Amino acid sequence: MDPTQVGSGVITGGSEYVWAVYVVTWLVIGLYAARVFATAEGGAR
Amino acid sequence: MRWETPVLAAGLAVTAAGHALGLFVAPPEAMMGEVGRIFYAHVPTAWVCMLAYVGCFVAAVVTLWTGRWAWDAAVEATAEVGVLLNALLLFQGAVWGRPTWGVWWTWDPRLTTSAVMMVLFGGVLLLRKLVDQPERRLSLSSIAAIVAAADLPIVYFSVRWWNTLHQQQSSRQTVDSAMQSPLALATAGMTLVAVALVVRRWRHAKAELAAEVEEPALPDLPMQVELATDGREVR
Repeated sequence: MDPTQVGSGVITGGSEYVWAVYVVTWLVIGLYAARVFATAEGGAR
Repeated sequence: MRWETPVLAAGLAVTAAGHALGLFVAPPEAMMGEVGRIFYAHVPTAWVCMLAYVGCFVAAVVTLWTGRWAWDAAVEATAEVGVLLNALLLFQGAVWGRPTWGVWWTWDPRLTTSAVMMVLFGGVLLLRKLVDQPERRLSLSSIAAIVAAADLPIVYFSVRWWNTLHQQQSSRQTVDSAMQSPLALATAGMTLVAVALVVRRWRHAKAELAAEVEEPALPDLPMQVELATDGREVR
């Protein structure tokens, strides 16, 4: 299925899937960035 | 402040702008409607994941060629960020697959080769944890990363070589103009974020390696060595 054309959509609803993806994406990136940037340079292996 | 900190901040801001446009401004997709908005998170994640792995491959080749610790640290940093993004990519794909394909997972060539890619580069990280001797770790993990990178072209071309459920790569010619701006913004933002994460992780790995290599190896203590009360060694 090619997700690149504009239209009203044959599949209806499903916004919970969209939000799940965006929330988890930001959580994972945010937590990893916080961990890496909060660690002092040369921190424990 | 290191330069990667403002790069991370800029990357997060640009990614947020791209995601906001994709979620609230871009029109629904012709077939998938609202679910099609996962596109703006999934495609940039796939792009930066592959970018991290290509970086890992280059670092591994240069490490084997030069034997320099800085490149060895780059193997570790790119592999770690790549595996993180790979896991995220598989999660996003599974959540997108459920409402569109009816399944969370299927042994489709693109999905399978992407999962194999995560296992292979995860193996590189595991190998680095298991091998204590730095020189041995440098060469073994570089070889493992080069072997793992053989899966990269297979992942990329899997949607063309085989008849798959997964669509082929999107391009400016195939993506509707209303969807291009959010996609471009999210991709640019995620690229900046990935660069900042890799560079910061590389600094940690390089410092750890430097401490490890410079630290003189402690001699094994003979079990029978005891110290007399005046400090002289008694055997």
